[in-house]
Amino acid sequence: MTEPAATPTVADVAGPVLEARALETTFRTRSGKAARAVDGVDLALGRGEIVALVGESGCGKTTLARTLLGLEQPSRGHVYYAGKELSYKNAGLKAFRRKVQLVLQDPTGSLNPRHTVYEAVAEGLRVHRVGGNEEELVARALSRAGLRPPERYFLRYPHELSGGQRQRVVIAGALVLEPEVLVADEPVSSLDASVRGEILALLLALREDLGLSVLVVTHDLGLAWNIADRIAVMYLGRIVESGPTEDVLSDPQHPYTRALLSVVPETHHLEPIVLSGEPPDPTKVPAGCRFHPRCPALSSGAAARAGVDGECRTAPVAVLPAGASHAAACFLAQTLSAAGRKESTGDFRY
Amino acid sequence: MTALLRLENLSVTYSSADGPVPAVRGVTLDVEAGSTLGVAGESGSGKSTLAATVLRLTPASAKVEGKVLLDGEDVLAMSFGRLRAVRWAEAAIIFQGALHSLNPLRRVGQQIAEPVLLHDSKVTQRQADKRVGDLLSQVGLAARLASSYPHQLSGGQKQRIMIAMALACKPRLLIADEPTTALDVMVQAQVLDLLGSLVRDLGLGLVVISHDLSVLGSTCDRLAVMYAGRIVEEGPSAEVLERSQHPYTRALSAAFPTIGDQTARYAPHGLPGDPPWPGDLPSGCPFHPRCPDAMDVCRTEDVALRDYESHRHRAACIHVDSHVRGTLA
Repeated sequence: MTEPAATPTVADVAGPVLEARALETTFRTRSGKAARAVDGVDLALGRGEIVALVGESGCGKTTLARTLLGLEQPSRGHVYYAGKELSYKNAGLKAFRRKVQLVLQDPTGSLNPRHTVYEAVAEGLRVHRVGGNEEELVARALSRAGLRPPERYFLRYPHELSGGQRQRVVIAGALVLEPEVLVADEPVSSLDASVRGEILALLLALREDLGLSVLVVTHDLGLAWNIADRIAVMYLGRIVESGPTEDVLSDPQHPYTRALLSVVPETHHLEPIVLSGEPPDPTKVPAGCRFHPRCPALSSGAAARAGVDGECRTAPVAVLPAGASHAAACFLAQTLSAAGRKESTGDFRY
Repeated sequence: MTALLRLENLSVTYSSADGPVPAVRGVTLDVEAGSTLGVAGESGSGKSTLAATVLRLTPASAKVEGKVLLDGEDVLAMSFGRLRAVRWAEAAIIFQGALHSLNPLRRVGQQIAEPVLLHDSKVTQRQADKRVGDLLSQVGLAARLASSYPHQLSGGQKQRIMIAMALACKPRLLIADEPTTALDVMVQAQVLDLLGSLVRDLGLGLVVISHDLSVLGSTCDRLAVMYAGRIVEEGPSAEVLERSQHPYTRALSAAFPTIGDQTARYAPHGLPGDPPWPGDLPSGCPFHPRCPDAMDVCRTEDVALRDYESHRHRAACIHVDSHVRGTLA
């Protein structure tokens, strides 16, 4: 569990398309304190892979996504695109941004109400001075995003479209530049329930047809179950558990993941573990395991029975490797698994 | 026994430049004290209009027909003075986007005390402060937070403040419009727990409005699913979720997958098309353009709610009494 990935996946063989190594992004608050929004993250996104980055608000998932997009400069560590370190010089960044596109949560807010659909989609082409037949490129992007026939949408304004159609326009605006990676920040959370599935199906189809890699930033575990190959759970600036979606969601190892999963209404078989309090403050990261003040396994004595409670409170937890295998940054889970525990559910009581 | 809240054939029509917009079209519902009703629906289904109508908060230009009986008394026929007394004291609403409804320039304690002071002129400031402290502890917040400003609080804390404010005048009916939409799952679970305990401990009647059927299913005794201004299915939560009779309910519940359900892996379930614009509803059954089970007759014929097995579970679909559901699913 502590070793790096033993079984390389297809993604590893080809090399990840986007990667964070020992990434840290720190902000200064007005009072001069350092807020460690991203506090040591290794994360890799393989070619054609869909990874869900999951966590509560304030856990740093959006900052991590923004740093991966080159919108924030890391205070330590590096971002790699196709094996090359990301340069923060203007030209390098511009080329990178063409290949890695962002899709935001609220399509109404991301579209200019005074621009037609055509202008919204063509804007990226103009910014990046892409040659070729603009009209053809826009039409192709719209139809890839499921707005067919595309010509019918050219002269529409955002207010004439439904929420789902607007999100498709935003996605078309990203696709028109033929990116390799989409970073989607809560792509369906502002959409109606019945439209949600359609947009998620579109993301899957884009991966299938164009080989796109997608990093979905979300707090919605059901979404991860719907489309993600891998899942990374973030808590207070760190990835606390990652692995293939089915392993993480059907056999969660980290007490935080278990708690998160138990309160999702879409799971019926778990006794809800409602954590009290809010995600803590990134200016005051607790010593030891950063989850220990809220950890149900520590407060119930499960950690003490396994003899790791001292470590939980004081010892630093190693950063999880970016590998594809299932791993959790938790002393208790690591001890139990080292003791030859095959299935976690039986003796992992709290 | 009279229901705490009874809506009788309620219709609300807004007027717009393009003609009348029927937002709610003939809704009949009951809410008993000590029970929770969930109203599910998407944007434009009329669910928020329904909430506003209970306290006559719809704009003056809206035409409201039917009856809203609060403890047997028709809200729509009340004098304005009586209405003022009923608002907050008999029924209170926690609005959607509540997080932005707090005044950023006033301490939250003052804002909670405001309805208390306004509704009873005999209450002194000291009594009101005490009441604020009680209310805060009732919603699981420390009394010292009364002196905070909204920006100092997290989303979950602000939502609790809104709930405390709604409870200020001891209403018997609470309506929560999307109470957890902007909140994280963990905070959402905390807020839903809190609402559930208020129903149990205070015997409140609670109406929760949401587009997330799975959230409603886990908190509500009964569910009503709205589409295009009407209730298309209604019944006990477990019945409605597990034995959905209306194709729209099935689509809504499939939209949020059960984690662990292999059929949902790499197969997000959506519903083609978009919810209809209330000003321009399709003919016949308004769901027919998106319905996987639609027949020719659905284009022309609208179906009212019908009993499925008993009067407690009803659905407005032509397939309901055909008793061959298995073959259509």
